[in-house]
Amino acid sequence: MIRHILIPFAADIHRVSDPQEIATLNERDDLDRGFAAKGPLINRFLVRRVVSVLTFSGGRLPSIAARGDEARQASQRALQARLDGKAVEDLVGNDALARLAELIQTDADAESFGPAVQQAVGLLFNGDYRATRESWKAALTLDTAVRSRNPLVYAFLMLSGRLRAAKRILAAAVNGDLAGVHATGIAVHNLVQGFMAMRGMRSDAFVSATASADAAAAKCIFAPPGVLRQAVAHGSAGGRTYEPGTLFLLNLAAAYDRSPSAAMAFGAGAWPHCPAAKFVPALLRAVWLRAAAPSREIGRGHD
Amino acid sequence: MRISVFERLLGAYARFTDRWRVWYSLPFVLALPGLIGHRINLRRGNILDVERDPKSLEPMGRADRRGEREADGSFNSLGCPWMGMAGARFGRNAAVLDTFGETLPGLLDPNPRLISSRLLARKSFIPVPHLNILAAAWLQFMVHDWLSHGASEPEDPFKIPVPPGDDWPDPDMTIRRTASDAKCSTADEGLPATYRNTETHWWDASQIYGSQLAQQMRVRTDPANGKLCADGLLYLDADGLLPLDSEDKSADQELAGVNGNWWIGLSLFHTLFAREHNAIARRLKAEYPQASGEWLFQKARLANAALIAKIHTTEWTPSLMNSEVGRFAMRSNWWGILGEHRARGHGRVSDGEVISGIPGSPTDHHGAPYAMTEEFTAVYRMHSLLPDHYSFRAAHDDSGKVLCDFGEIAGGGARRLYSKVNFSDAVYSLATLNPGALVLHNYPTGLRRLVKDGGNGLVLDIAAIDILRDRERGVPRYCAFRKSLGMKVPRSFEELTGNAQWREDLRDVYGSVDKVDLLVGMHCETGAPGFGFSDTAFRIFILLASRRLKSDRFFTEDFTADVYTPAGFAWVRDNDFRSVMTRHLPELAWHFADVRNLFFPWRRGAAAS
Repeated sequence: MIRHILIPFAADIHRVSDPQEIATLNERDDLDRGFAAKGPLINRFLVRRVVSVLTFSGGRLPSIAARGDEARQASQRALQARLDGKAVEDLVGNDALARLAELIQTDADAESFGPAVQQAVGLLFNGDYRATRESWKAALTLDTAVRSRNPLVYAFLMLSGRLRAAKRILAAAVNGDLAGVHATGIAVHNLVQGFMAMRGMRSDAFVSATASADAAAAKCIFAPPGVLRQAVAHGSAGGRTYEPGTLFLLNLAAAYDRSPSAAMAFGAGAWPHCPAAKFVPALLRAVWLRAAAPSREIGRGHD
Repeated sequence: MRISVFERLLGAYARFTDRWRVWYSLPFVLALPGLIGHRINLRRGNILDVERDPKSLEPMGRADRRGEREADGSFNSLGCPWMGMAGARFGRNAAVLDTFGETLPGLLDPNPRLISSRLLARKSFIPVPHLNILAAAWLQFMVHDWLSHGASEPEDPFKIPVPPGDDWPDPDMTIRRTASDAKCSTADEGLPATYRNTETHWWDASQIYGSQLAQQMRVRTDPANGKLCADGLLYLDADGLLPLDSEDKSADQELAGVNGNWWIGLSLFHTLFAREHNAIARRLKAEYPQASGEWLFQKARLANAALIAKIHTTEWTPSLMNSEVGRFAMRSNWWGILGEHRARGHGRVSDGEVISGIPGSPTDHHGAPYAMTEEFTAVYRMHSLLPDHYSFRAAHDDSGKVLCDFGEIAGGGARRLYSKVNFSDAVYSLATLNPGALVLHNYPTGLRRLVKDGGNGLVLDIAAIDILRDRERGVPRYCAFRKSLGMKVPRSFEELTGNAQWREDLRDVYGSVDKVDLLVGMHCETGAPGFGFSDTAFRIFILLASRRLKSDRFFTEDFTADVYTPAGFAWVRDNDFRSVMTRHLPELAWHFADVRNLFFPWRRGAAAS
């Protein structure tokens, strides 16, 4: 479903939550992430905000790099090759995965999961990565700057220098790798949400006894609630026309709920796909197998 | 899916009233908008597509895609030819991520055989006094039109340990797995298993005509000379009975588009509607004498399928939903709330399905390609409708002819029965017996130890299989199922059932109400007054009963005299179950003359001379 928010001279935004529409839009050449300051007032404000939050040292984080950006493409390919390789296998023997499995078996909250997940993710970009309270706080700050609907919060984070400091901390921990900043500062929150969900599944003896690792992984994948695209040419979608500067807000989380697939969660098969499309489910499966194994005896009885 | 503000309000009304009182406890004028609202909510949230890579489906396609149903169900949607065709996947009504098949050890918790023995096994037959067995047979006749998971896989079967003290002949019960989906792609990785429907998903009478062209040709061919029957007729022998299936392993098995799990009830309806097809074809031949046999066959099929859908919607379902709201709701699906007389006299007054009914309204798939669903399959598990013992009697004086068990009238036994009881007496007999109630402790004994005809001595407990199948295919258990439909979820056995003995039985077997299987939960429910099934099943019915019509081009935009022919269209409009029965079995008219609905028990005894 596409909902069009059109306020003359103020806003021209399409909100899309239908899986088929999202898949179709992902195929279109005239929707990109170049994010030029075009269109009505609110569109310009949103674009500027996204670009300013997700830029560090003059470079854009990969999640807002344009389609034709060759550096983005090269980095995406390299990271995917690394993650599709033996990244999870490396993690299995690592304390980070053991720590996550341990937390799943307790009643840990997001504050406990945060640094643990960030540690597991950070290791993909820096073998000496050390998640700290400070790095987790930086991730929360960056996430707030991206997602908060309150412009005052964003203004405060910008003007106080907290946002800049947060990005600096995150970047330093991954040796300036912008994909690493995105992973440990933005994507990490979806993973934390996933592990919290996994903890809930693990605590239910019946669910724990019946769910396969695939089931656990799929239920613990959380797609981003809002991904932005900008029209770079005139066109039409969902029976409505658009023009350069029109924004499309893709609600991948809602689409994933309705039609769960790697295409919805990670953009698999489309140009803006996430390099961690295989890594994340594999990580979730590995943690579930490690954390849930003892409880799978609970289902016995009554027969 | 776009919905209007009015529809949103109805949806909100349904959710609001459901918090306080279930729809059937409300007065008519409050219950009806609630029902419409529930359907709106279900259409918004519970129609889910899992056909992620349909390129593997190969629609057959022929000359007249617009005016005829394809044998394989393709090209019903001209924009999406594979939609609903044989081989397409079952869709889902529960959230896709909640439909992973259960794994061990939970898969066997509790043991399906234990549930079969302790909760389902029939102690004494509990009848439904207001229905006859034709209602039960019709249900299976319809299900065979809509769906089949195909033959189960012989490899790596489930081994169910038989509980101590059970009289099952082996220490383990062997249950084959559902045939797996052989056409998965990378898009399916990490997602719940999918299954394919070997039949067309559409309401196209494929149980009569088959879901493949080859099978369609078989039912149209005279076995004596191997030639297609002239003038678009289906083959019936000199006694008006179906031919025997020469390719079936079991003796005396009759041939039909779908002839699995055969018994006398299915045989009766297949024969009756094969005769009806031929009556339609002859009528069309009279009207269009120059038409080819192929054209006559296809147009007769269109009309026959529509007549069956009409009977199901306006007669069968109201017989099982025997309340003022139930009858009105189902009849409105066909004629709209303005009613049959308005529709017949003046036609449609608007495109709206509520006002003027679904047939003839615009096609709408409600956001997902049309498909039968696993959840629909699950709620249609109604084996308890079948009695164990049957008495076949002469229609003219009700004198007894044959007493037999279910096993004797199953498979080839159905045809063998006709050597002792003629077709008319067989219909009369089933029409004057009651089916079983869908409650605990009423599962047919014969089905709990069924020796599969032609199955190399394979012994099956269908009750245990019913339980295991839902778990295997990821149909949520009862509480989770209701939650997924937005219904109230019982928090205790006390909230699940008012029957104290059942509560104890359930507690003993399940321990926790969350574990109760869907089938068992539905059999415990106190449903709507006059309803033959649970409110949980009903929610799926109101969604799918409408969807089968609303998604089908031949019931919506192409439900016209142009496509059906004026004679075929009039046939659908002017006929019903009573007229079909009167046409083919006029000698039974006295028995059903005073019956409001032919799925109610007919008058027994000797007809007045």
